[in-house]
Amino acid sequence: MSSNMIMLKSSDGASFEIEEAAARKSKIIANMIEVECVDEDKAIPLQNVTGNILALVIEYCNKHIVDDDDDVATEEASEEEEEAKKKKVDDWEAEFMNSMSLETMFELLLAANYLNIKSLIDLVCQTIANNIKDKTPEEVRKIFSIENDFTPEEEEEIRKENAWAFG
Amino acid sequence: MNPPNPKRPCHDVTSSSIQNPNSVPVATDFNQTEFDSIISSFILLPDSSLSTSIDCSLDRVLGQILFLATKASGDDSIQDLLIDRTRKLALSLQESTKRVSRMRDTLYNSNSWSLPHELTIKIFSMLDTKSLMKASACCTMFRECSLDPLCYSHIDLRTSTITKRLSDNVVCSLILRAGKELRSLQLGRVKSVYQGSLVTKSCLASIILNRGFNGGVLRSLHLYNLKSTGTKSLCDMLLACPNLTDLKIFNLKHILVEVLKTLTKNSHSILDRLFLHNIVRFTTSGVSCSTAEAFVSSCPNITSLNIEGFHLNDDAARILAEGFPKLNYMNLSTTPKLTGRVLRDMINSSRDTSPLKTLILRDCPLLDRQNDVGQFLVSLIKGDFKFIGHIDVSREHGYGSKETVLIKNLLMKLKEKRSDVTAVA
Repeated sequence: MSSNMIMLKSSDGASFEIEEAAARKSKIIANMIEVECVDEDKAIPLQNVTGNILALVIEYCNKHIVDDDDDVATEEASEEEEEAKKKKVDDWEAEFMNSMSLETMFELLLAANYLNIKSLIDLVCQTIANNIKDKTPEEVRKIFSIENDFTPEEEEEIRKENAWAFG
Repeated sequence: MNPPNPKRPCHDVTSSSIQNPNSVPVATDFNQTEFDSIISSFILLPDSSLSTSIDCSLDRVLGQILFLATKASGDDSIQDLLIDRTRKLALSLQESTKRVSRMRDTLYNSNSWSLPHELTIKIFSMLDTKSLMKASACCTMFRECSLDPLCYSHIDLRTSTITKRLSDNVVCSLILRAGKELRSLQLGRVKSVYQGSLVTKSCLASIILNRGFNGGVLRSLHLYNLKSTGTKSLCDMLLACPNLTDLKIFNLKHILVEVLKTLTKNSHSILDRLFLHNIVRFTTSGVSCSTAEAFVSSCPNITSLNIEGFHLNDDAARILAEGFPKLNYMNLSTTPKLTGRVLRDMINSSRDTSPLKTLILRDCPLLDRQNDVGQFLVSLIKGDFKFIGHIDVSREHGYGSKETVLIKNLLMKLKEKRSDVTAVA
């Protein structure tokens, strides 16, 4: 494993140092490294990501690069160990998402989408989905501060069409 | 643009334009700019005039217009037309206010929910179908995203209670919304046994619709306690789904043979898991050996086979147990005709080669414990069937005491020799 360090620069000018292996979690950055448009002394500018969000992205990537290493090292791990490790990652992810406001989640999702980090996109999407699951439209509107912009006729029609779901 | 004097008396405009007594006397020769500026000055009337004098002004002006119109045309009915027209204007203003207010809400929503549609759709695709339906009633953006086929790749309409409103029509429309994205479908009442759910034939038909398109990519299909769907419609539907890897039909009733024959027709079946289950006791024709053989050879990828509660004889059972090269789970519980011969045959022919990990033959009343189950356990103790990790030959009503002692001893030995095997007898 290469332990090259890479510099990333957020839209608001903050610089972060990150291991290349962790940065490769982002397909966009991995591509940049592949085509060698990464100058060793220069930071990669990320126009669409602010410093506080980039810090979260890097925290996530660092955590998961360590896990990937473990996989290689303990190839013959028993099922129980595998399970324990998976649980550890799940717990970490739950904790990671739990401390986050919805607003931050949205920004993190947009950043993950821009940087193309699939597992992080899935994680944030699932967390947002959990906030919608089993809730009434009124509750969902309140959680995400959304206004009802249907005409009364449209709303009536949708309610009628999906009446089974409101039972 | 100079805002016109809001105090400009309206009747000047009106009276000057009364030319044709048969039509409503309206201002002519307005261009769009003037028109807009009149409306804007009306809407932007100062707060003070709104609270004190607007009502009086409106009454006075409208009254004057009516009076002058009648006077000019000499026709009273012109007043009806004018009043009607004013009502329409008022309504237009009201509707416009609502529309603009909704547009404002829509804009507000796109700020609070700042994700592009593709990500919203991804989030929605992670919801169960019921939650998705509720989310779609939140706002127009959610509604629009919730109609994307990707949101319906996995339709889960399992219910535990009677959901009268979940009609065939609803199910059909959801299946059609999924279109070519439909990957898995779970349908029916999970808990109920004797009373079928409302969902019937026609929703199976909607899977067939666009054959090779809808059904084409359907991988997983679970049907629970459906109302009698008719053998033909069920079999037609199975034929339209060549890519099924996971089929589960709970409470299939009496049509096992037909279903197996239909699955056989599919020459490149990639079926991996098959679960067929029957509750009601029917005296039906059993599965013949040729049916079983044809089925086995056309579905070589089956790893998990569950055929519970049907009339399956020893020969057919043996063919199923030995025929699938990758079979690692087999459950033939509640098979009334099954004796222990199938176990004996398995020992003779496949004790070294069988890939089975789990074998379940619960509640088979004719299973001979003393000889056949005993022999099978002995074979396990000797180290045959080396992949077996779980075997269950228990019976709800227990066995005779003599049998129990024998089996108990064998189970203890098995535990000593092969600690990885769990056995229930």
